[in-house]
Amino acid sequence: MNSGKKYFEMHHRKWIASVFIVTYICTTTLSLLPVSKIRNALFDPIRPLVLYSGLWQNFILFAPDPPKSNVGLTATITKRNGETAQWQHPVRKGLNIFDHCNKERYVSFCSYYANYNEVFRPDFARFIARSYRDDGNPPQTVTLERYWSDIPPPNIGLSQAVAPTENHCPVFTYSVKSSDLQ
Amino acid sequence: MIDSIPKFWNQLWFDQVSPAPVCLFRILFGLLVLISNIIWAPELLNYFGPNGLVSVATIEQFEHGPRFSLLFLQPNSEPFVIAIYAILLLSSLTVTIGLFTRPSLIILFVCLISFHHRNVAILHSGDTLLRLFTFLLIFSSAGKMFSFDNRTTSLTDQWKIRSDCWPQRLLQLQLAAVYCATFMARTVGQTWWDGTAVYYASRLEAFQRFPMPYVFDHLWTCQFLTYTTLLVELALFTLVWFKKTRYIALCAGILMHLCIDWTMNIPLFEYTMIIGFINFVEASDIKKFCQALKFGSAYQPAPR
Repeated sequence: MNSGKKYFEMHHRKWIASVFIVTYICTTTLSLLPVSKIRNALFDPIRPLVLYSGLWQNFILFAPDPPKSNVGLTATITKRNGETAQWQHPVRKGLNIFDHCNKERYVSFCSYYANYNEVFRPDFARFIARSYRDDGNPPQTVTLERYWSDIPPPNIGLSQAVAPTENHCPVFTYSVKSSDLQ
Repeated sequence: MIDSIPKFWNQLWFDQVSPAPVCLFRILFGLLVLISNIIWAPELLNYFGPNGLVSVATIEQFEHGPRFSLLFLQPNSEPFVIAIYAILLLSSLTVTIGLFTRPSLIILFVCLISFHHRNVAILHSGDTLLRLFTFLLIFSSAGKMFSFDNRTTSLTDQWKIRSDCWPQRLLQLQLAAVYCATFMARTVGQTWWDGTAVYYASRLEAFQRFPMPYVFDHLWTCQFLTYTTLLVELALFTLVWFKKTRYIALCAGILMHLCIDWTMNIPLFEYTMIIGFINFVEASDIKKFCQALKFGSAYQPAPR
């Protein structure tokens, strides 16, 4: 007991490091534990600090189960003269490996964030409108459309190509303002 | 029993070890951060610019709680985004070569959280892990070997350097925590129990990369891969702590990640995990490896 105690007393640096170690382990554990009342009660007081400092973490790819449907988002741009154009996230086109890597992040944005969170849709519609900027024939509306197809269970889906995106449904229409195109 | 607790704690976290694994990890980690950020370059302003996919106002609305980002200081300035990006690239380069290692790591961490908090909607788990690794590396002796910072010390003498093991232990724990959290979350999933998880994952268009003929067309192979994935993940937070089984677990982990990288499109995530394994490698084995390459303490300059 004494030797251990002495050792700690002599090494303040170790005490500080120990406090840091325990804090980091507790923060990591609380961040990664499944959501429950106890976990939330313990984590909520420190959550703002964890979020602010960038030490938040979450690793749940394909958990508890992988998605059972292919989901995506396209956009239809209607121009002033009635002409329409179709926007798809870039990764769906034939891209080389570098482009594939740098444009890949559109996939998670379109498939999950813009698809399921309404808050992202106006910004996203404006972003698409800007990419179709044309002074003579500016975009008037942008309609975001969700597409999806369910993956059949293995007894049907094995040895089959991935099903085409069979279902479509408009989720948001944005009227483009001239200030959006500046 | 009570006597042994401080001793055990001391041995576990404050043992003096060679920083070789952490220093080697720093080089590969820096390269990976550099590559992952260079990849952003063509889409930089689309992802993080004022006229990009998401505005600062929207991110603030989406987030539950305050987040730090330098990019919030000048939300409407494209040159500011480019300037922070340039600092990010420069600091990842200086981390790689070990120049002003600790200040570089602090700057890199600040830049990374600035970009990550500016647009969380385009991130994946690999980004999160790189950010956490950066944070933990700040406290390590990552610049003590194979670095510009220590270029005046001969490699032979660098092998004699010793430092506290706790930053390396935290890097190990962080990686093990990823596998533990993923494993635990998957064990409640029905498809992981019936063995069809890999079948469904292989049918997700967004993730498809190179084809794997036969393997994904048969139920038994999909089931085998599903259960193998769970077993390897289990090994990577259990067996990895024991010397006898560590390298077997790590080899299985490397094989699993390379297979996933071949078949699924999750850029650089698999490599982030693989380079994290370096922190589990014994310094003596890294030394043997360097000696085998005629590098380090075994290196003898040729007589003139």
